Amino acid sequence: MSHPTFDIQGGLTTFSGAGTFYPGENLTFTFENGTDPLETIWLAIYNELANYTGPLATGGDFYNYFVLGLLPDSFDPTTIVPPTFSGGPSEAPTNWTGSSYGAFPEDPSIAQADLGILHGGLVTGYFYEDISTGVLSLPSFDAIPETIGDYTDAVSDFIRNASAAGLERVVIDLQRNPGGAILLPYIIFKSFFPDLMPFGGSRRRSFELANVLGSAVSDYWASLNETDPYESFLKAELAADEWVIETRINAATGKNFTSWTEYQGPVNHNGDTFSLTERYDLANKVFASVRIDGFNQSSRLCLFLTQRTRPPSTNGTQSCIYPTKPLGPSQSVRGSRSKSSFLQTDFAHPPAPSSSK
Amino acid sequence: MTLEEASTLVTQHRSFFDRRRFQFLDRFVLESTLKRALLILKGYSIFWASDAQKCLTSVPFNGAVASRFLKYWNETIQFQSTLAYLKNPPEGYQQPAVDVQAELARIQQNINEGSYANQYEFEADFELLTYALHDGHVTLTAGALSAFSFASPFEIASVSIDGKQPPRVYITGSYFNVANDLASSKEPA
Repeated sequence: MSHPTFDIQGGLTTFSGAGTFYPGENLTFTFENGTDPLETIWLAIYNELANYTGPLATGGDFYNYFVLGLLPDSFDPTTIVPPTFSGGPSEAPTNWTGSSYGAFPEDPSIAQADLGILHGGLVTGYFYEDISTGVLSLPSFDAIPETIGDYTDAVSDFIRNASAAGLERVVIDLQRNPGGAILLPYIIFKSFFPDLMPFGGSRRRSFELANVLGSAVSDYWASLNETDPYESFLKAELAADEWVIETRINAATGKNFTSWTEYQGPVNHNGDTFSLTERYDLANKVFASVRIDGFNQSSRLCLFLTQRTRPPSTNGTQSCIYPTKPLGPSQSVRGSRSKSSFLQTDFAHPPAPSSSK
Repeated sequence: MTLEEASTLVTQHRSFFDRRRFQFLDRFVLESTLKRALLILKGYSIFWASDAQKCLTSVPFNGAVASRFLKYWNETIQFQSTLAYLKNPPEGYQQPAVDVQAELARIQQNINEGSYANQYEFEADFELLTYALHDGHVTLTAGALSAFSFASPFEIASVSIDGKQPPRVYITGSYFNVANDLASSKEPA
């Protein structure tokens, strides 16, 4: 389904541009109001750049390229025509109106710097004084590291100005938010609730390969000598690595883990074996800075933000999953933490933060 | 479809350009978006879905390669911490349970028995498994399936026409006509 909060992220929906499976030849839309049916065909969009492969003339050519990564013998690299982009960088619009085909209002009360699909800004805010409500639009947490300061500034501006205007309610719009930088929702949460400490704990499957990896990297990290300038630098760079456990907090004790051995459990749940529960040490500035500068990791970000605003009894907020009437299963936020993109290089040698996504 | 229609289609989608931040998001959508847009301008990239399907089902299947891939994916999925919970979901989980290991064994059995007539059949079976985990961090964009993205030429949207009624499904953009009709038929206050 298309949606303005997805349009401003520049994506294509599964229905209309990102479908994986063959849906059929013909497509017919029929209408409740009796309008003549709209008859059309399903399309397929070829994702590869034709010039980059030359003709893939047979099923075998296709297999060799798409499955094995081998170019056909006939391929001539001198025939590659690089794609051309018309025009230079465009000026940043100061609202989401154009990109959302008119859905977003034209004059946001708050707008992050460099807003736009082709630009780095994401956050906008809207004050409706007649209903004493502010709306904070957070379409994504997937912010380029260099823009995170502007992102949090926009949120702070929103909170400060909404308070100054005496608004009684805030709606945070997280529709189609796919996640992104884990620390952003922590920062945003603390901006709204400075006195509350969010609990974010996680654990992983405890099995041989994971524990070999974790022990090797954590032991290596612990062995780095901070009095040596290079090792000290490396130690800082690796502080937020997923396989370095000494910078994480043992949720049960509130203290840092001393080794992977302490962390790995195994603890039995639901017929499987898991590590102990870890938490981020948010007071660790080195950790935070490397975490942001490295590849962003989505965590249970939206879930985090919404769960931390429940129940009403603790901090006066409610979370609503659209639609508000029980029409059937509704889209809730998922609670999965990104640890999926392991590369073979992670197993070959200890990863640096930039490759440990 | 003419080049003009294709260009209009893409202009409507307006998803031409690359963004660094999509390094996190599903690269499949972004890369296909960018490359597709460029090729549409050359007129080479939009086809009948049924033609693409004829192409995909003509790609031969190789059991040895498939087995090697399955083994590699299985080693990787051992890190997925929800495996036991997908097999035995807690109360309130709204999707069907899936036993990933059992499904992999089933697919391997199909490979062994030569049940997959072509590469598309194998990859579709495999991709369905990855989707069955319902986890946005478990994605597979590879092989013959990555060559094409399927699309309706018209987008749909779920919209409440007045913000109070339950939402209904519209052709995206057409609900403006309905809303205008509704607004103009209101009795003056």
